Amino acid sequence: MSITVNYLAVLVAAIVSFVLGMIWHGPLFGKAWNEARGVTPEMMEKGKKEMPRFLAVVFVSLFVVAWGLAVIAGYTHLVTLMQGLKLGLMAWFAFALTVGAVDGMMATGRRMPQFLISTGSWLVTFVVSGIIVSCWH
Amino acid sequence: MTFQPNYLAVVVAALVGFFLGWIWYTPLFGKQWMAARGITEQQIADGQKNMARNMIGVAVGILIMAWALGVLASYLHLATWMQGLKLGALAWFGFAFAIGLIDSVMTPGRKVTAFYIDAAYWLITLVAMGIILSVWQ
Repeated sequence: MSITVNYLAVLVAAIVSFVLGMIWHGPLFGKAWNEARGVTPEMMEKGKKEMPRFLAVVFVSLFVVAWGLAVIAGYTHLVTLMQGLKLGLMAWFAFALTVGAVDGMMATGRRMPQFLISTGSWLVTFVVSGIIVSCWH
Repeated sequence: MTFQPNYLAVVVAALVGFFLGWIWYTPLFGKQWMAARGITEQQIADGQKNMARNMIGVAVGILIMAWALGVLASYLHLATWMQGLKLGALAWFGFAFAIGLIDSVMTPGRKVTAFYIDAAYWLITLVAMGIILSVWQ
């Protein structure tokens, strides 16, 4: 029982997710996101030099998620847009939403806005990556 | 495309996951984890009244994960404990690990130790649940 993963599709899914994530946490919800996390403009300024390393970690994580979805899509023989969408939805619901909720339950501070913005972004990532890796073998 | 997870196995797997979490975050690594997240004894005392609600949230999260692993195990006709271990490891690496990593780098004031403790918890839980749900169809 072996499958082949289309790494080009995984890479493209990760790049698309990354761009959507930048839009999500920037122009769309950037302000609310920073407020929810208690991040001030000064902290952002100070963190500037950490930014490349930080974005590299984010990109690697998104690549890993796309890879995980591609492996499941390969084993379950998903090929259509609808199947990819369902895969993304299910994986988001079962893993991203739950990990985020458990994390939020155990955290302190203003947890709800942060959780909603974060899990919303994961929903976009999972659905988009699920569709890409299912349609493109 | 039909699949029927063994719901008794799903519930048992979730109970095991929840129980592992209690051991993990209380006697084993409770102190280090609180320190790494910057949670004080005072905050724990203040949060006592939310504890029941939070624990229910955590239990529901783990139950949903167990259900998804059960669906995958049944759909893929997994039967051996080795296959279950691989399923749990894949779900961990592809989703719990990747999501926790981003959560960790995006939350200010959180030490990397908290990420290690959380990631290790999800690894043992997902592997344990994957094995239970594969072996017990």
